[in-house]
Amino acid sequence: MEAAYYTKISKLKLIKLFNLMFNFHGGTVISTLTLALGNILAVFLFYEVSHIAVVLSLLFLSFAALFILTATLVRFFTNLKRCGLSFFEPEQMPDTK
Amino acid sequence: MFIKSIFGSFFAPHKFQVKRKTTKHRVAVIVPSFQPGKLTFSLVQKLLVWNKNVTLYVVDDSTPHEYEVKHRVFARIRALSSRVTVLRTPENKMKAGAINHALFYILNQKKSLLPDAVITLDDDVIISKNTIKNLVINLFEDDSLGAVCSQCRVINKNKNFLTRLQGLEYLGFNGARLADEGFFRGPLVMHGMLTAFRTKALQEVGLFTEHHLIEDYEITARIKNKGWHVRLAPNAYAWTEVPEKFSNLWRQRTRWMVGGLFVVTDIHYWHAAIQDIVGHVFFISTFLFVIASFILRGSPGSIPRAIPIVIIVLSLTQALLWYLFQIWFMRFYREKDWKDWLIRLVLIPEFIYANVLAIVLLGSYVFFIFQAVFSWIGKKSKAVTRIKVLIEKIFSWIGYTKGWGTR
Repeated sequence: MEAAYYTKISKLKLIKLFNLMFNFHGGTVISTLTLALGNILAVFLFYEVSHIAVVLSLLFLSFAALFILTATLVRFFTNLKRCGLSFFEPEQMPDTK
Repeated sequence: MFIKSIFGSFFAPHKFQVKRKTTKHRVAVIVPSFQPGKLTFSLVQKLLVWNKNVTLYVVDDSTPHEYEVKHRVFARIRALSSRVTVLRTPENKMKAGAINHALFYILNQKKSLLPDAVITLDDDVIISKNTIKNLVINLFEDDSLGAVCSQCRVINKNKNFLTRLQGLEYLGFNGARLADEGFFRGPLVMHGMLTAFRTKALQEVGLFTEHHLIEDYEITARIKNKGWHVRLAPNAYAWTEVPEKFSNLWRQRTRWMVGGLFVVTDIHYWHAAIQDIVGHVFFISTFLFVIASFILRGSPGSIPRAIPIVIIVLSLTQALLWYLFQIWFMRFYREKDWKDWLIRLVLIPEFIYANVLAIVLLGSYVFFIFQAVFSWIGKKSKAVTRIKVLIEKIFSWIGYTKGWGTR
């Protein structure tokens, strides 16, 4: 029982360490995804052996991440409305030859 | 009230006025250059042909005479038009110093000759016919705007796998800048690649900070500190070459990240770097979470089932929302081909890329802490100084240094 407990705990740490590595790159597609998937994995596999404080902080992080993502998307679409969809459609890439 | 206003800022960006569009502004363009090539000459030519109202200041940042004798780029640039002034720095001053050299010259002219806007750009940027015009129109659309920058696109994205990844990343940068418009006075960085500054804003904040790792982020923060807004200009496109080798990319990113940490800790107005601060808070929180999971030990069955279910629902929503958005966002990537689609859909390459960048950032934290500790200790003894020099050499060997800036 003890051995199994520690195996689970160490796997949790491993996942969270990976999670830590990815989660703060706001500009990349991966950052938000890995934070979310890392959290899901951690909860699915190891929540029952984690301390309540750890799980609660995970809950808070998940909420904060979703809040920031939603706010970013809302602002993006609000601003895009002002510019119109042509905003990101530039003239042809110049020929440099 | 404070919480309401903070909450509101996250969801409702500041709305700018749209004044009558006009192109009748005096504009000075500064092109700092060291050992310029074909691209620089072509850039200056295009700037002159496409923008009849601009005055150009090309700054030769002490290019060796032998180089100029052989290539004669500055001589040819000087001969292009009377609207071009070629200045030369007394010694190599790096990009910020070279821009300052021209700014000093421009801002000390008679008041009646002062430009309304100053544009700074890299000497290897590629622009389109309307880039400068649209940039200036945008800058003067609202009186609160202190600076606007162009969109960045990658000219050599098809060169190899690394450049493709950067192409996708730069697309994300443009998206993030649009999302940050009106959010705590605007995007984090008005990039050095191509930005238009309102002269009045520049006069208020002073010159660029020399010997800074990322002078563009630093001056953006100071402009926002003074109450100006900044934003990305729609329809102002510029293309740049990104590093094709991993070693160059590594050096570029260590400079960005270490420089970013110094900006965040130097500013006196947290709004100016809110996006970075949120990122760092997330990092530290997750880091503390990992530490806590090492120390705190739970017992099976002690956690209510509802909590993990809520976490899973929140995280799944987040993952799905972001993934779908990124797929939808590809519609704005005009240069894309099937390989870019594949990279984005399968996620794995970007996953590895993000991991590598995360390692760069972790290293930056360590380097930053090292700098802070040794500046706190000071020069206590020869032994301490020797240790510091040795560690600095090791950091420098892996790309972390304070001793160089943007060329």
